[in-house]
Amino acid sequence: MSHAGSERAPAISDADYQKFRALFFSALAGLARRGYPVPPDDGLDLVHDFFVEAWPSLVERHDPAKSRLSTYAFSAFVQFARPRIVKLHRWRRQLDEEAVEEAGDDGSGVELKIDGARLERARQALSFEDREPLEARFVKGQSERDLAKALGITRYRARERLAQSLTRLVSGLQDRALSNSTDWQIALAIWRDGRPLAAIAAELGLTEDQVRARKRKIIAALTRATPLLTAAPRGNHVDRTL
Amino acid sequence: MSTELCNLWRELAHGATPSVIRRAQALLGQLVEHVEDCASCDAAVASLSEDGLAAVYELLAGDSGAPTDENPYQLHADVDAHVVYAVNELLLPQLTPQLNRTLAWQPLDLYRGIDALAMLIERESRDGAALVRLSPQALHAGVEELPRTTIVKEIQFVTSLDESSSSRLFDWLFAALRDFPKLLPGMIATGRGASVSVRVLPPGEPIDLSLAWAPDVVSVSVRGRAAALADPVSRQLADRD
Repeated sequence: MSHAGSERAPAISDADYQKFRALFFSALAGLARRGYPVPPDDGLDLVHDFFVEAWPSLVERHDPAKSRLSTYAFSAFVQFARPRIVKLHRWRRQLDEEAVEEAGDDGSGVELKIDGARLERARQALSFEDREPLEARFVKGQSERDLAKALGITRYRARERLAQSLTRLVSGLQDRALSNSTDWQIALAIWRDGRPLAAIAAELGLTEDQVRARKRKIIAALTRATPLLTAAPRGNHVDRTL
Repeated sequence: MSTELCNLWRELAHGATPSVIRRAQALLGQLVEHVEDCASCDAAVASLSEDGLAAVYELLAGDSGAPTDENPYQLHADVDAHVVYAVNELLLPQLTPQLNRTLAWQPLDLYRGIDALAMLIERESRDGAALVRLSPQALHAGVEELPRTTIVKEIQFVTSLDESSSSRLFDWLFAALRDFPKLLPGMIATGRGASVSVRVLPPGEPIDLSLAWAPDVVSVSVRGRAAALADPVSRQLADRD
């Protein structure tokens, strides 16, 4: 999805686009102050997604006798953006783009191995809809934006599909798929249960940085392990870490 | 251009002059994409506090005419009917008579209160705890603790009720959580002594209230069976069989 606003809803004029984009930035400022911060690239994506997904019907529904359009639109945008911001934070824990590039060093000095046969079985159990985004992202090295464009969906939806696919892949693995049981616990906690890194760290007696490094190591090992996730040359564009 | 964009981000992060803001607004698309491509700007933006990030958005928004006369954080009309239906037809019938008797809020305010509490828990869960413990005095998430006053303020903020009513609504929600574990959509509550543990469920499809509050199949069948047995006609039919 372009950041230049080229995919804005056709029903909105340039002047209105500028005006309401500014209004929604105010809403994002208010949300950030209330504990729902979102980086500017995701923020602008949210604004564009709102214009594409919600704006046309919002204009139709708005009753000028009951409220000003700006108030109505501001309220609608907050309701649209807030749960998405919460989800974006959750997916940030689950998807780690930098990990595709390099394995992290957790200081343990232990190499992580993955049982390729088990991983292959888990891969085969996935539906095409689940395999498609994983292969595009990990095998072809597409960025999230490229993936979104290829699938004809927003980057938010692309992330959602990636997170769900990764969850299903890890859930389909069996407990001896990873050579290290702590890594297995971490994998399940992150991708199957969607747990925060700090909570996992507290449970396992590790630091949050150690859990983060081991997460990257797991993704890197997954990337190396099978044809599905064989490391492939990546394009020049690297998305920021989720 | 890249250097100019780096400079713009640096200026924005530390308070900017009107000319810098105008330039940033004009180059907004490139400016945002640049963060994704430039490690140092990415790191600079990532290091911003919540207030710092808010300040950047405010600078980029300029004089946006954000509404100040009404609470913009409330639900909008298109979901109202669905919420009222879900509260009246699904939620309330599953609560105890005691909770229904003490219910003093309209369905939309009740839902806004539920939403406020759920988002607060989701937010705190995100910051470090999978299992959040709620008591009438505070919300405990990992090492963090939100005092009652913060929870009540959040409910007040989302509902626009006064402080006293928001406070009573929080107490009611706490009592309801012990009785109805699925009260907060996307979460499951378990009563533990004087507090309640709330687990945020793994993300799935968007939460639909009619599914989140749907009665359990078992309880429906048991209740349906009980009603049928209590009905004299059913009893007669049963006797005849």
